[in-house]
Amino acid sequence: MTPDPGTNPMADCRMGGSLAPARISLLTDQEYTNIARDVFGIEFVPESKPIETGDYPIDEQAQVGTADIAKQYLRAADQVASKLKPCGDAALAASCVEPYLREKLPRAWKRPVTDAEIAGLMAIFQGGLPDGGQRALDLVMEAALGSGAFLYRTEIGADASGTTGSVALNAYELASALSFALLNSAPDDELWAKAADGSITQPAVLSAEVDRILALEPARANLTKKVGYFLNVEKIPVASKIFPEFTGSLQASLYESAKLFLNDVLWKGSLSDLFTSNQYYANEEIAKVYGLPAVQGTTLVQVQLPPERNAGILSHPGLLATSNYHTSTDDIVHRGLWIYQNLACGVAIGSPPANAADIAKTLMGTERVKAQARDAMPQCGACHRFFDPFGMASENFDAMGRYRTVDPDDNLPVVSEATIVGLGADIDGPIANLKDIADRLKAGRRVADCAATHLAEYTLDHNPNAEKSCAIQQIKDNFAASGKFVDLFKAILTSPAFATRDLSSQ
Amino acid sequence: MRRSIGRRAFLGSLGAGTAAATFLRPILGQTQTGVAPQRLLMIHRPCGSAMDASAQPGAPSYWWPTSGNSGSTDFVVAPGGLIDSFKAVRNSMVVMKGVHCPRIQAWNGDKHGAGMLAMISPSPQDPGNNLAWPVIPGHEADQSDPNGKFFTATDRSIDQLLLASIPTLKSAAGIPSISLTPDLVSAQPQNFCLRVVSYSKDNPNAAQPTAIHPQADPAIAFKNIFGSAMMGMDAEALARARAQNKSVIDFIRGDLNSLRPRLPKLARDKVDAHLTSIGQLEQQLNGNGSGRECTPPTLAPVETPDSGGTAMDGDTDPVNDARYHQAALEQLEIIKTAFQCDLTRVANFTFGWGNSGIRFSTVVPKVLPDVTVDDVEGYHAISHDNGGSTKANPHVSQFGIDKYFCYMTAKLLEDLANTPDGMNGGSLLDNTLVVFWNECSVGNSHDTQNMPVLLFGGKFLNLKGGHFFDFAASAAGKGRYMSDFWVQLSKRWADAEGVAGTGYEPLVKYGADQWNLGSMPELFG
Repeated sequence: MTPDPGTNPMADCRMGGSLAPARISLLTDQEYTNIARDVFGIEFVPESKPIETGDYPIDEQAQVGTADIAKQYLRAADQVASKLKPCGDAALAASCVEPYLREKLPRAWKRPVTDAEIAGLMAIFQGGLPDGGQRALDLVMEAALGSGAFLYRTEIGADASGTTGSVALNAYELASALSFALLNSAPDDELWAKAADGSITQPAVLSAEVDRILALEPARANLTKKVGYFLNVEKIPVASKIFPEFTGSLQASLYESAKLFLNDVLWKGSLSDLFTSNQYYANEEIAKVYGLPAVQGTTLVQVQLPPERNAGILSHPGLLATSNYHTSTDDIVHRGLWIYQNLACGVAIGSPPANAADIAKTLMGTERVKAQARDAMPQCGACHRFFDPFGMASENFDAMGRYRTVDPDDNLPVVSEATIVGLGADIDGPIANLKDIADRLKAGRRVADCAATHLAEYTLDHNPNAEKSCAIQQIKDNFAASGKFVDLFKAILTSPAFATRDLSSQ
Repeated sequence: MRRSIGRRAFLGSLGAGTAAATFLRPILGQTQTGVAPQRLLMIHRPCGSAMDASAQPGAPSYWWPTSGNSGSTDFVVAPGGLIDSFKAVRNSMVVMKGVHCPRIQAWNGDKHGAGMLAMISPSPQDPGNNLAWPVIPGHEADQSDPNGKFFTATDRSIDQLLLASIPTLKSAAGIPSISLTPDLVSAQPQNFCLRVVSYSKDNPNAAQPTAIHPQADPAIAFKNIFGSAMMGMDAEALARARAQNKSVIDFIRGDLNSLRPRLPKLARDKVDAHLTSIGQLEQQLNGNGSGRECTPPTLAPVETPDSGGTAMDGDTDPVNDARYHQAALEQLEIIKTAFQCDLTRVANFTFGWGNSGIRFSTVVPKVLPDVTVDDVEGYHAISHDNGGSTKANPHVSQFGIDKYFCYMTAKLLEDLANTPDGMNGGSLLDNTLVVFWNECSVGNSHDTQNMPVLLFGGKFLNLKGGHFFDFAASAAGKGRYMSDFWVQLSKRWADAEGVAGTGYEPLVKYGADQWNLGSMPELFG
């Protein structure tokens, strides 16, 4: 097998290394909203939606870096406070606010709350009472939800101030790490109980909790979304196309269709199904636009893709449209990059040279002819020769993923042959079409390793290769053998390396 | 591996710019320096203008006088024309001709977005390959797209630059700036450069500035700005409120400090940044008030549905059309009152984004019944000669839309002029520099020459209100760029009351050298 530059070959790795560094992580907007729902039982509606790009929204360095951001968190706390009913319908009073804080805050803070902290919050409450109970509660929640205890997820064990070795997560941190990875929220009652009695640090208990939570629908939806980032499904809603047929409703249907398919593969199938399954979900609009078996109405129903779409997800309409960045013409380059980088974890491609756009303007002819011209120029071909061939194999599909047999640029039959290079013997060589690519991807280890690396990163909110832990190789081996996504997530979360945090990478 | 997309967006980029928290309970009318507030208001109108006289015979749509010498006050304005809309505030108006947009037409990126970036932020040196604007990470494909939308500014925009460096532009009430729009699509949280009219950059090491997306919902803008303002609060209540706020700050600070010793280095840096932010917030809370009187506006409900954030070039939306005028009225009223209350001193207002799909045929006749706007496509299509339709005269329609923009702006300016501003006996307009701008001149060609920019107010800067200036012959016929105006403004502001002697260093140039042709001192007395 060709060494994979995107993974961590065993020869280089550190036995006993952790999958992530000791750290604190600012809550994401979604995590904040979920905690408000799961712990305080309220619906928190952000005033401004996050920007959806379709990329995994990781930002390990996010911080409260300005007074304005600090203010905005305080206002968010006010919004939460305005919906709380700690005293039911009775007037807000210390006698019911204090027990309410003692009950709710530990899970919100992801750790036990001390008597001194409760006393400090109640002093704030008393100071606000002259201006009314709601003002007093607003102030308390500003302090409680503006504190580091709430805003950060801590993974520091007993003390992470050193610079060598690693620290074991304490029971609360381990429970939180597990819960945020699977549910994107604070631990539920069952998990919290196992943190409180310390049993979650026992491998058998941890394993059982992983199994329990993995069976929960919210966890499955969360993990389906993570796999969706890996496969570009999350980019379907933000793709832009200028074809009249690419309507908002079609785009929304393509997204839902892709999620239904993913859901089947993740929880009932295996990795190879991504490249072999001809099952698909379509409604009338999708079927009509893409020439699929007739379907009536707006409801998505399972259909079989026609023979020309025999490359699994590589020939799914929504993903073909999304990976084609050009809004109106076919796009060999980005389609090729999608497969090369996302699915095959090919060598990282640098930025194009400064005059790339000028060069592009000089290229004439069909997209295939342009690709051949790029290949012939050293400054272009050095990179394009690796990924353009994947795009050339998709030439049977136009910019929005409709099947075609004639290239509109020259009115000649579409040619989809190409030659893959640079990815190793299991993938390199001539191909006739997308089906050939799908066959090679499913046969080798490259996609399994690539998926394991991506999904470990999305689960950990951190690139696990950074710590050079041998555990990531074990996780890859496990996934390559099993092919089941549920096994992959379980392998990550029950790995001994998940329960510790590295200090030396600081 | 793909990384780094802002996942803390809802708490990091609220629509109304850097808005006040309820927590703040802003203290009204703070004038800690004893100097009357100095303000900057930038009003953007999208999609260029109908400026070609030959294409619109008889339509007095010129942005310039029909006669009059440069530097004169007796210039003649065509009755019914666009600048005639401002006759009530003519003595506060400066008309400039021969001022161009600092960019090359061939630069890649949507021409409206490129125009907006060039007008309000530092333009780069022409790179010679059309790849001038920084592309937003994740959208590298846009770099070579002539219509790419995902570009951003090279640095913070001029309003934020002036705000960051001129002490008299800072309101002690703690709302640095606001950015509002009546167009739902303009507020959608996409980093389209043609939707954003203000960019901040608090972290000098950040790779790119932060887009301050305008807020389209007057109700949210109202809450952000006036939410729990301490209207009429007495001294005892004020002291109590400050003590309450301090107790919250102290609690958070104590919690962060207790966490800090056990953290690794990178995490300590995060906590330190958080502590610094909390300290800055505390400073903002410690301002003193002077009891300025003002009353938040009373707003009628305006339907503001979640439009999903996916509208594209030219998309029309009946809901957006139906709410547009009322939302515009309310947003402008919010800006006026925020100035009057001294809750902020820097505001941006945009009538719509550069590909606006507002169908003004549903808006303008209700306000200006004598003005014609044909019922064709959205505004962007009209600005491009109806998108190819022959149904109506696009120039007449664009004139009608411009007339509406001028009418609405003039009403605001008159209101500002009629509102006393305390301390120095002037009006809100006297103490506000208003820049009324567009990202193109001729909409259909995205022309960068002869930008129709008007200035108003600015008495505190001795702006020569009531004058017409023609810069077309300057620099051997090259005229002036908008960059030159920003430099001149910055220089003049350095000498203003409350600024001189504070160490404020004015701009010596703005953007790359090629966009700096020379000074424009004649604008100021």
